Amino acid sequence: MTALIITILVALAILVGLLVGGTPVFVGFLVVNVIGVLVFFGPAGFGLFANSIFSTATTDTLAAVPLFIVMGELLFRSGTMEVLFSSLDRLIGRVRGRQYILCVLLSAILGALSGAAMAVAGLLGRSLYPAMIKRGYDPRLSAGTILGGASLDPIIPPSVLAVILATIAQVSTGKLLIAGAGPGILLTLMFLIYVGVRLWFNPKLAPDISKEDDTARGSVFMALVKMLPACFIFFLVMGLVMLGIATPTEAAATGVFGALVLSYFYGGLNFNMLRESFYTGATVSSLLLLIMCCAIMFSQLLTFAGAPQLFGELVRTMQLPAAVMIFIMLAIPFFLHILLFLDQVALLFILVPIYKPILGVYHIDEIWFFTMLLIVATVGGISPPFGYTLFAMKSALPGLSMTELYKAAWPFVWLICLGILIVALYPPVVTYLPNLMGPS
Amino acid sequence: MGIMKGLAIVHDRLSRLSFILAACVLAFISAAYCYEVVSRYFFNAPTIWASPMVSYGLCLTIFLALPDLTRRGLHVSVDLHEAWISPTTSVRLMRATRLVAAAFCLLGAWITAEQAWSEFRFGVWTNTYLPIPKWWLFVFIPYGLLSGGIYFLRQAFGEAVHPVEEPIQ
Repeated sequence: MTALIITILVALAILVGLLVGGTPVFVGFLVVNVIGVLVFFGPAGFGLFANSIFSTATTDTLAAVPLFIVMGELLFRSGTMEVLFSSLDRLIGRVRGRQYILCVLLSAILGALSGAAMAVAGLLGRSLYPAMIKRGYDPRLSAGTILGGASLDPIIPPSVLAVILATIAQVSTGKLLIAGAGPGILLTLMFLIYVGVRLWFNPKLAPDISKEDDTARGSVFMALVKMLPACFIFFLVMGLVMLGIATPTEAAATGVFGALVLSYFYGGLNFNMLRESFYTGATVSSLLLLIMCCAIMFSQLLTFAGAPQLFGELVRTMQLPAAVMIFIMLAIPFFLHILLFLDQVALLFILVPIYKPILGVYHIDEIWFFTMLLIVATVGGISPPFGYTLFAMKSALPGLSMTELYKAAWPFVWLICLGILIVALYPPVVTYLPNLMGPS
Repeated sequence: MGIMKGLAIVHDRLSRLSFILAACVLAFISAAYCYEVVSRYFFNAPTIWASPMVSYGLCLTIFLALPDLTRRGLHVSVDLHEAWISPTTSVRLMRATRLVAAAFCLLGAWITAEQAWSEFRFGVWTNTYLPIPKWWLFVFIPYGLLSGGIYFLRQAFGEAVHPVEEPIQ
């Protein structure tokens, strides 16, 4: 047993060392897997290694990843975002701090349409933030709402990260996608309440709205009508999955079709836009799936080495209460992410094979736990000092200091942590919708 | 030197072409699954080719795109150390990691090429509703890894250690 623990620790040390040293994530896994195959099987195991890459690259459920990315790209480039922006702005009405509310709601909707926190932080940082500052909104709270809102994106379905996590953890993709809806709505509400409370105690955080002219912004009815097509896309994707009509991959393809129709409807459909959307889709999805292809063997090697039994035994020996174990398992990725700057996908690949047997020992609902893990993986993105989304925001706003960004992010980090606590104490927030879908 | 430069240009053009192919395959994947959904749910006539074609297409997309992604230096990596260490050390570390990446990509290319050859020799077919010889797909894996490995090698030896993002025409 000691030899196995040492082997696993050495493998993890090599992997983390390579990643922190700047080696591309897919290469880090490639190195550890080639060495692992040589240690356990010798050159005879190379066929196993090659077939592991092949079988991952030909997993048709993973086709949902490029399709969701293409769908988001089409919507981003078609002018849909501008329509959503103006419609939401109109619907919120004459409320003090309207732009904060707009920012949180827009992020949640963009999350439903794309699912990439860094992209949304960059987009809103470039477009919404300067407009908010110009109108007299508080810079720190403005940056915070953008960061907090962007961190909702990988949680709210459809989420690329959820598809990847479901594939690694071998749980139902449809259920894990849907499971994000409850926490996503909960966190959106918490952010809105937080903004409301801050404004209640300090009205100076938002400009006076008494002089604003409402007539120039069109009617509420028209704003609703304009938003309907975008809501239809959401139904096309998640509704089909929830009703059991289509698999997540088929729903994603239908979403691409819907996005094309919507782009035509909004007048943004042209060859250049299509070409750029598919180029970005091929770029982002290949980067992610390449990591998957090279990393999947890591969990297979851990299983072959007997790691599940080892971790199961260790957990039984420690006899920790389930709540403490869950806390530890969620705290580890949070600190690994913010201290070592490890990528979310790499973290999931390292931790999920280790966590899977522990969940079995404690009879923990996998959908519930992996949804919480998903939230932790995403909150790491806005956690100072090294969250990825913080850097995306910083690159969009070079004039804003990192110290200001850190101060802006912290309240939202704590709010998300509180959200995780609520989800942990009241699991139906996560499990209600997946349970409606019946057994997988 | 001239030959090496010429080879590098050919390598770059091949990588761009294969990236464009990857994007076309992705467009095909989207169209195939849309057709499948319409055919199955509206005409009650599910296809037998859509799902296998999508899985084959996914493999092609990933490994056809790999070389160009490496050329443009887009791979996900942790660049935190750059803020902590001197520029000279940073460049040295970058070269070292690129060398490691090149070595293991080339090794991976060799391993997967051996396997593709083995699939070809034994006449192994894919186990789907639309079977094809497995090596037809397998060859794209060593292609991607080999070409990516060569890019890492080029970057390790000084050529565009920080490759600049260029729009693809």
